[in-house]
Amino acid sequence: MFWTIAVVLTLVTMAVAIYPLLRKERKIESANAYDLTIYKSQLKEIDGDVERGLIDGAEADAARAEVARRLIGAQDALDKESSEMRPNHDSLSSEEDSGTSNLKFAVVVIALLIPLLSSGLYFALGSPGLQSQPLQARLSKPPEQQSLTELVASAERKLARNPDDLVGWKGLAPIYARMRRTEDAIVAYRNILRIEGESVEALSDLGEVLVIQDAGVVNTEALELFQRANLLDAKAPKPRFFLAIALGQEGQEREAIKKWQELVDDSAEDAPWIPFAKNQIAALEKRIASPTEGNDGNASSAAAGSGLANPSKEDVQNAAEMTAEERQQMIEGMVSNLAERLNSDGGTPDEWVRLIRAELVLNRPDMAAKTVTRALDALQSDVEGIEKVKAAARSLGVSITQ
Amino acid sequence: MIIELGHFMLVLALALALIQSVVPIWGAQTDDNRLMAVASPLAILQFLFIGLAFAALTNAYVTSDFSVQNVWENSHSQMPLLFKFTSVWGNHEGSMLLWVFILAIFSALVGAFGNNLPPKLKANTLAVQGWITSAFLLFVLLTSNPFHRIANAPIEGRDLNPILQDIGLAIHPPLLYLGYVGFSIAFSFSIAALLEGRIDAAWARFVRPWVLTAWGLLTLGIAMGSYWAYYELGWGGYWFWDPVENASFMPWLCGTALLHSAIVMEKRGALKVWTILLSILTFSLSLLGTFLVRSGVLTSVHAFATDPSRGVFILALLIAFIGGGLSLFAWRAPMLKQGGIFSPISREGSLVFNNLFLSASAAAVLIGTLYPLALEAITGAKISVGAPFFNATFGPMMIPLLVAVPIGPLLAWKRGDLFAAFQRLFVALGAAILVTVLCYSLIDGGSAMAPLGIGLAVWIMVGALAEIQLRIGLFKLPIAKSVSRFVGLPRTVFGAALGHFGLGMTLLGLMVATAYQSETILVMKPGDHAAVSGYSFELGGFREHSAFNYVDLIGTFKVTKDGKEVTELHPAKRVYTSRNMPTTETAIYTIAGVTQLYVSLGDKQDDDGIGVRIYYKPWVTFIWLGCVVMFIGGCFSLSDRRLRIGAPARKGRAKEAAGTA
Amino acid sequence: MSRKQKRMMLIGAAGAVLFAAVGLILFALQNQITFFMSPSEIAEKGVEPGQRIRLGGLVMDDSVVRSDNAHVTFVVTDGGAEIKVAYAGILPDLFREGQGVVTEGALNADGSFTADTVLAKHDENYMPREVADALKEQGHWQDSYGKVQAN
Repeated sequence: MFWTIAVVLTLVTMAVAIYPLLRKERKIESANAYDLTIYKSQLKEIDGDVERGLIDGAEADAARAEVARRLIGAQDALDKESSEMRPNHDSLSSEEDSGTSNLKFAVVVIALLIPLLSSGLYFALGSPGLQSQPLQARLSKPPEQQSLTELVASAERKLARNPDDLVGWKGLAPIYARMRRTEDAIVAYRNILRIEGESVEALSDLGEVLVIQDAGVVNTEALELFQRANLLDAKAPKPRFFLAIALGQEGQEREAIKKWQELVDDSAEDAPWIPFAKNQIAALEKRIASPTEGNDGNASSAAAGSGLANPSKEDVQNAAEMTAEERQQMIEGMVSNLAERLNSDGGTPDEWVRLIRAELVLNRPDMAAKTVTRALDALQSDVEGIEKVKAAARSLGVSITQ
Repeated sequence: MIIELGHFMLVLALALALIQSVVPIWGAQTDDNRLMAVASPLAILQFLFIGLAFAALTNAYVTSDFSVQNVWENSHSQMPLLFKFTSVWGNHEGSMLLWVFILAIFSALVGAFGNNLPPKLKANTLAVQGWITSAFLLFVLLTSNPFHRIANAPIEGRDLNPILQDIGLAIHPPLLYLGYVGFSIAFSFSIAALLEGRIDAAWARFVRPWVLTAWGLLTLGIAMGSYWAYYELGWGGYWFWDPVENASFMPWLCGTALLHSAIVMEKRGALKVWTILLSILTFSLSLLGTFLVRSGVLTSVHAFATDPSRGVFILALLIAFIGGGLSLFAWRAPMLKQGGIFSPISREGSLVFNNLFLSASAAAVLIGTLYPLALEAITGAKISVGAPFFNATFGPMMIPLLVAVPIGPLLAWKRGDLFAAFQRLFVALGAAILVTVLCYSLIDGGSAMAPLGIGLAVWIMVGALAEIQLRIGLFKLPIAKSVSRFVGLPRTVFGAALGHFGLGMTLLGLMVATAYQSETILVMKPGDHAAVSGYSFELGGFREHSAFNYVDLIGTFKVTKDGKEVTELHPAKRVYTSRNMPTTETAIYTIAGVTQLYVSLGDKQDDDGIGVRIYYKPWVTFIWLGCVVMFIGGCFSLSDRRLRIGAPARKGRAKEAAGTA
Repeated sequence: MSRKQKRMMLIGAAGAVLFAAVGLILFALQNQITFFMSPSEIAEKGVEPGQRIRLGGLVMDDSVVRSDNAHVTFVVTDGGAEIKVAYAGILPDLFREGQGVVTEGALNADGSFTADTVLAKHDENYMPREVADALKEQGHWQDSYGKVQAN
């Protein structure tokens, strides 16, 4: 459809540009003839002014004399022109020849320039085939055709109209969490808790996102939520998991080990939290053995090991690396080299975008988010570069922190 | 798809503009009518294409299509519909597209209605328009393309800069651009005349309507910008000598000079070379204004586009057009025939006087605007050239010019009588002196400057009326005769008188508002009173109100005078949520259409108090009403049928003339 | 008068007007301009108390003190030096701690600054150019100060 219209437009354009060249030649009026008519109308205006009494007789006569002088001048020039034209009548045909060859040349140039230039430039600059995406249409598409952001936005709009829609909040909350929109996730889980009332799931889900927001620390509010959940169902693993972490963070290592061990004992062999729990136990035991020793370099235990009161973001990230295989570690090494270079020396917008992509590939969205922030910082004066990075971040689903 | 078609049409328009740049000139050089005839249809088709491209972008804004980067960056789905429209040009890319679109409108108008132009003049003029269009289309497509797409469209836009979400600023740029770009026609006509090496008798007549149009719209645009700054920025100021304001003021000064010199050229055939030069300079200043605003070289409250690569592109355009135009002028101008002679005391002489002072003051503004940039580029020292500089240079230069305004129209062409002119103006002179003395004696204290300025304004206004009175012989001839003369008076005479009267009004407003305003800045708590110029303002309280994409903190002020309630004012502090950016929403009450009470809110203090500015601005609206009257004057002149006599049914008569020879 | 005389007279008059205009402009450029300075430059070069200057920099965090009748004081810094500024009036919309500001006024004998005009950036992506340059000179541009507000 687009191409059909584009071709039609191009053809119309060519037709409009070429049509005047194919008409019969007409004689051009001499510019002096135009002048002549102006002077004549000026004479008339003077008469009109006299009639209306705007200028007096003497002034009018002077003005008339001046215009008349110019009129005669123009008439003379016109006469001279036409007398020059007549004897030249014979050479007209040769002139016509050169005229026709000029025309042919012009037609060819126009016929080539319009399609070539327009298609060439458009291919270089445009995004052919990309459909328009009016917001309303995007949001009212059937859900299976919507992208994640569109799904979220249409759900948000529905919820804005009907804030008590439990199903809506339940659908949205985990998506927020997955998209790392922690603030929004907290709001969503709070709403679920408000509508549904206290349940183990609602309490512990809200607690979990609060922990995520606080970079892995189980703060007072989260702790209270997990405790309430634990009261409702002492067997539910999620509250127990976080309560154990909280104990470790409070420095009650022995208590924590006990809770972890209970959790491991009560769970099935293949429960997803088993490896983490075992790691925790090992790390906590090590800490009891040598309390001064902090991070022993073993990234896998770092989260618990150094997370006395306030594990830093780096610790949490180190912990996130514990699943990394060796090969991935190698890639990570390369990426971190790039990151180091960009951080210290800066780089082009494209390099920053590459780094952001790489970090996403390594499944480290918060790293990527930080890189976006750093890139925006480093690119400071390069407005276009900033836009590029932002656009890339948006399209990759990385949030841009303010 | 619509958006991509818009993009494609813009590219097609470039191809058309390139052809239009070359083929008609070639035709004019080889006397080939067919090559010249290409110009008009191309200009019209370009107008269509660029217009449709603009419509496509507008459509993307209205439907919140965030797959268009430009829309995503400058719009928001919750924005009121009006601002979805206006944000099309509330950003760099969109406003440049608007610039080119207006250029295309003007070219198309010449193409469609220029049949009374000598063919070569028309062909050359349109070709020069083609150069400008090509250059700016390239600029738009390569450095400021509003049609860039985002593959994964975001779901929400980043919102338009809140200070631009205002109806005043919505209308102001298009008007300014209409003015700026309108002068391109005068430029193209001049270049065409220089290319051909002859100035047709009708040249000034053809150019004058364009200059009038551009000048009138620019006048309105500047007034609108000034009023916008007045109520939106919340400082109560209307002119800051900000570089961006200067950028629009310089072409206005130069364009005003051009307007006047074109009269001399039309009526007397004199000042041809000067008029050509002025039209080149006026458009050059328009381009300079575009450069200053669009390149981001300025530090200014208005600068919302900053990108050096664009700056270099526009600078190159600037150098090419100004340098090229002036070089062509230097080369060809000596070939042009000089026109009639006149004595220094004459209508022509007065218009030369006008031109001299207007161009000198434009030069002063130019130097004041560029000097800081040049100084910084050369020495690195940073200075600011503000109101004190312009008051010391522009002010003194305006005084002789303003004094001369009523006198000029009363002098005869060729040789005038200054004494007689003064005699005829005795009423105006008397009124001016009376008002000056009254002001001086009634308002004690304060300098004599304000009364003198007010007297000068009265002199200009009464002088403008006196001109009409003299022309129609009112009080001298029988009433019936005066009326019939009044009806038959050429529209240009009304236009000139209105223009001058409006100038007087603006001056009056400036003088009175500056000299006799009063202001109070204080911290108020609910229940507090403030008294300004006899009016009492009581702060009732605050309330929060949220609408669209912002939240307002609205204060309620009860205004009373002598115990009687005058009005209630609701100034607000508005915060645009998506950018967390505050703006000031001023509340203004106009008394009798001229004097304004002006209240704006500052910051909320720690203890329930809030900063409040209250101004009493006497006669302040005259400043802008005067501009509107000037604009109406321009319209009157434009409607004068004599400007159009250029001649439609010309062909036959021209042939007849040739035949009888 | 002959044609030539008339022309000479015209040119003479034009020359006189232009001469006067140039004189005015030069005079005004000597006396009516204000220099922009950062706190460090003032500390280095010294400025006469009472001379009108523009002072630009960042509003230091926690330095804004409001008192009665819209009087306010704050500290302007460029990382190298600090100057206390006193101002009576309403601060512009975008005046914020940690953000760029340009003030116009004069230095007092005690080294503080009394401003009669305060300009803040008018767009959140926009830092007054002089301020940005001054900060760059002091090497503080890349710090958190100069962070472009994403979004």
